[in-house]
Amino acid sequence: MASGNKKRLFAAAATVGVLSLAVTACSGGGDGGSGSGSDGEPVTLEFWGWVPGLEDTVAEWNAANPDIQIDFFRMTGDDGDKIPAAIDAGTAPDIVQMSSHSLPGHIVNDRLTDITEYAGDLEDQFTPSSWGTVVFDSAVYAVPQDSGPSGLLYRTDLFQQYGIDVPTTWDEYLDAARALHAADPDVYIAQFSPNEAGFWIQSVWQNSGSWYGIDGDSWQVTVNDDASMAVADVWQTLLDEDLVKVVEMWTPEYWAEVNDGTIATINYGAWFPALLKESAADLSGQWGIAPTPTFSGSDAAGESGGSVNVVPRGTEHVEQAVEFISWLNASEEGTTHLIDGGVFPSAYVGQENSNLLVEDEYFGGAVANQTFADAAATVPDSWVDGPTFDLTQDALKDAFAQVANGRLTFAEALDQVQAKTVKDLKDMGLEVRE
Amino acid sequence: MTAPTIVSGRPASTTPGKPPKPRTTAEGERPSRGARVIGWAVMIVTAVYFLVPVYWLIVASTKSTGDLFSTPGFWFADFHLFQNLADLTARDGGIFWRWLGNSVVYSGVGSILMTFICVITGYALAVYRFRGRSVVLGAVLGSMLVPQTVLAQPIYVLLVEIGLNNTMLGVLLPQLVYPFGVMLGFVFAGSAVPGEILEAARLDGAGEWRIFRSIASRLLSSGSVTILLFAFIGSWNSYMLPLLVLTDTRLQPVTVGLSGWSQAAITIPGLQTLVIIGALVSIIPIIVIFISLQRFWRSGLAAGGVRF
Amino acid sequence: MTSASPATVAPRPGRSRGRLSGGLRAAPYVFIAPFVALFVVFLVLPIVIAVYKSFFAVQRSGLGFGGGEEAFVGLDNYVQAFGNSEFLRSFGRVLLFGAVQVPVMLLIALALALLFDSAMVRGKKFFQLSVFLPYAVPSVVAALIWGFLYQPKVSPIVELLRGMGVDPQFLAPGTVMWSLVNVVIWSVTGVNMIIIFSSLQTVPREMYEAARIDGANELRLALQIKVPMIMPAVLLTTLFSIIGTLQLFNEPMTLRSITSNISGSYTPNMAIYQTTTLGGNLNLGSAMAVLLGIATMVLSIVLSAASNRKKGGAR
Repeated sequence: MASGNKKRLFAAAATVGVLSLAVTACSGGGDGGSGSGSDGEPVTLEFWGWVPGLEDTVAEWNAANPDIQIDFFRMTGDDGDKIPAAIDAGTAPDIVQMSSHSLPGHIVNDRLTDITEYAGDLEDQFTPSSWGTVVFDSAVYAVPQDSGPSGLLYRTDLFQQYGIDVPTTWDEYLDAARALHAADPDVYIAQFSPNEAGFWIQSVWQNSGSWYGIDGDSWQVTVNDDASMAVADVWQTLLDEDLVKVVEMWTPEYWAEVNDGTIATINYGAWFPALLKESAADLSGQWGIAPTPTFSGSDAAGESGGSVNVVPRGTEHVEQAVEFISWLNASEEGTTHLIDGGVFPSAYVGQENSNLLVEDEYFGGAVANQTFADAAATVPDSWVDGPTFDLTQDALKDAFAQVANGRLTFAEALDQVQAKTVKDLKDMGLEVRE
Repeated sequence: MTAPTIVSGRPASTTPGKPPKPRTTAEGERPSRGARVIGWAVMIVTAVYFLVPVYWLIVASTKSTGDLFSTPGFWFADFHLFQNLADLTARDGGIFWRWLGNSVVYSGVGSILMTFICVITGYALAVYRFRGRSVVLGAVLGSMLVPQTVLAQPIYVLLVEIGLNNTMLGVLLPQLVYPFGVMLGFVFAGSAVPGEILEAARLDGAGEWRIFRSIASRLLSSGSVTILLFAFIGSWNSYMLPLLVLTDTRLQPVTVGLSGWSQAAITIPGLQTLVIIGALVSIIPIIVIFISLQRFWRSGLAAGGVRF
Repeated sequence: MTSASPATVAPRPGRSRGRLSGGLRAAPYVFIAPFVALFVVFLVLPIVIAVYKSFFAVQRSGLGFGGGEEAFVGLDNYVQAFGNSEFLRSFGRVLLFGAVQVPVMLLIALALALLFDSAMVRGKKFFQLSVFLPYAVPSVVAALIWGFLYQPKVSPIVELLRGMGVDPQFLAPGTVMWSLVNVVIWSVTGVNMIIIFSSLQTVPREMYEAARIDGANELRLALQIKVPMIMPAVLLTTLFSIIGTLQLFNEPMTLRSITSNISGSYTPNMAIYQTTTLGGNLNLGSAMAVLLGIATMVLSIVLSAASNRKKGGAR
């Protein structure tokens, strides 16, 4: 029932968590930094989140910060659905983890606190692309937690076997796709999953595009602009020439295809390898990692969005709440906990952390996270989320299902979603510049 | 999702208080050999259709994550059931068992209270003529048509006002409104509690409460079990409201907990196994209840003159 | 819909008036008090709130940051709901769904009930239990299980059929609705069978004897005597099954995670969910829910009127 995006964010974190909880439990240590309520009175803040191991993180913080006590509640799959109701009813926690994409939807319903005053100076500590997702109309509404810069995971054995070079541009990618499929009709360079909008968002973002924009006092909708149409060209070619396997992402069916070796590359975010390792353990050593193929004239990588920490409206102790989430997401100790919990932190200090940059046997000993960290620095800060993001994403899935069935082309699907998004925004009474 | 309904009034042959003649064997001469073969064939096909998914669930519950999709689905691989149960128990500090316990509380306590309320309300509606009776009856009937989606959000807001959100009571109270059960109670009472007995008891000076407690409730016992069963199943399967009302995962019923896992499990095969074994474990109590109450509720449906 | 008048069991006020105590007069009110109180708080009040909310909308301007003002907009939300082609289409979809699922399910339930009522079958307890068992499986879990059985690479059923030279596509755009129909049939046939079976048990046995003396075989007996006798029950089961399909939610929502051929607004309830949860528009969602409620009532009134006429004609 959750939007796909939240679902995978949640899942990604959950997977690694199981593996690394032991590590977290042992790592301990780390001084929680300063921290006292501004008026000296101890405060207790409620925190809903899903990163594995946060219980220990919070315990460590609480021990070091008697004046700001955190009461942590673990969220499970569907919990995001009740956040709006909780905030509207005045029963919301003081800090919530959520998908960066859902921010504007909450902002236009006045559910979030503008934390510019306390968090505004954190900008330099985060990658521009992740910071860009928390700032709207020059106000800061959240602190970035984790993100998913892209990298190209590929089957080294298959590429070697058929003597194909790993593509570095999207043109080369198409050629490689043709060569692979010609060499073995059962092998596809990738899968096309109508239910997973993240791939699409990632490529549009990589091409300096976005679904929404803000122009003065009105929203822009750019679902079918040139940046997106360029992505559509690539995918239309892949689909028309039967170079991709159509299969819904995350299903047992999908993992069966991966394990059968019918899918030769997966170009996705930093959180994905953990899922791959878990679901295709037998393929260890057969995967490699390379930078995502680039669009001409740019060396940017893609990004599909991450999670952030917000302070819901009605919270009394905004300053203390921000103090905690700043520590959690932008300090050495905090990000170490996040990394141990299995997420790819948005802050530079986390991306440079030696716990993150470890050699990975699954990828033949490569430091996979180095590729993602390098990618993170290049991701454009073009992406802007809009208040109807979830509806747009849902409409895109439905339209892409039609594309998969051959009833629409990608370009037609985008036109359809563009029109629907404009209408949805206007129905909310918002200003839209077309 | 399909609610059965009720026709009030009794079949011509039964008089109030006297259940229809019990039939242990089917009437008529022995069916021909051909007919019996056809009967068997139909029954076997039917049983296969209805049991195969459950059988698959049982088989899948005994498999390791690795074997789950790589070995034939309808046959056992390495027996991993106990390992899976151990994993289920270990996950998040045994929270699954806590969920199961919560469900037992919500559905156990809930269905008993629901049954009491439904029976006494149905009884009052069937036995007494009073001002507002038809309004209540009409409201009960009409409310069976209200989509749950209309109610969830406003109920949550109300619970917050009362201060019952994120409490077990907040899940228990709203589910006590069970119009279908009231209708069942009404029909059962209409046919199983003869007016003459009530009048006689009144002439003996018995109070209304005593009449209900010592006479009517006994006459209504098999009907009550039917209501209890439906209430229990309905409550065990409820999903939307507890999801909304409960913040604390430790208070969740097992359906909500499992659904949360299955959201995440789409990406994590390790959890997939737990969802499967969890699903199996979670339907066991309901099957046990169903089988153990079978004798009562079957006769309840038939004897109550409930013709759905 | 159902005429509720157990007149015979109600106390006859005329005769007992002399002995009517205050207790008797107050008793029914005391007995129904807990239900009525809960009913008002958790059913009537929420409906009132939903209807009330449906006449309001959040007025925003510009980017909309910082929220808006909730203002009375009359029937605007209803106009908007009617203008939403996806929402309207979802009604058509569930009606088509119901037009197939309900008759098929009831025919199976009826046939099984008749079989169980005849002497053709042994081991009734076991078979009845196996038919009823799926009803005890929560709908989310049921859809989950069938989801596994529908996916080609992991489904033993597909494997089996492929071995026989058939390549089934359970989740393709043209077939996914029938796969969904199957899940619902699997879940609810049992309870309907039991209900029809119970109804059969109340048919007076003497009627069968008479027919047998006239030389009717079991099949004719079933079709000409049993079925007409339980027709009212079957018709009403039909009615409630159709109402059930209008409310379809859990099964398609669960299957949506494995196939995009079930859209986000596949059924009216899913469209409402999409509007309130993904779209965050509680007011419009309330209006849509009220419309669904009204549609359900209209349909049930039409159907029960139709079935009453049919009953009347048969007499």
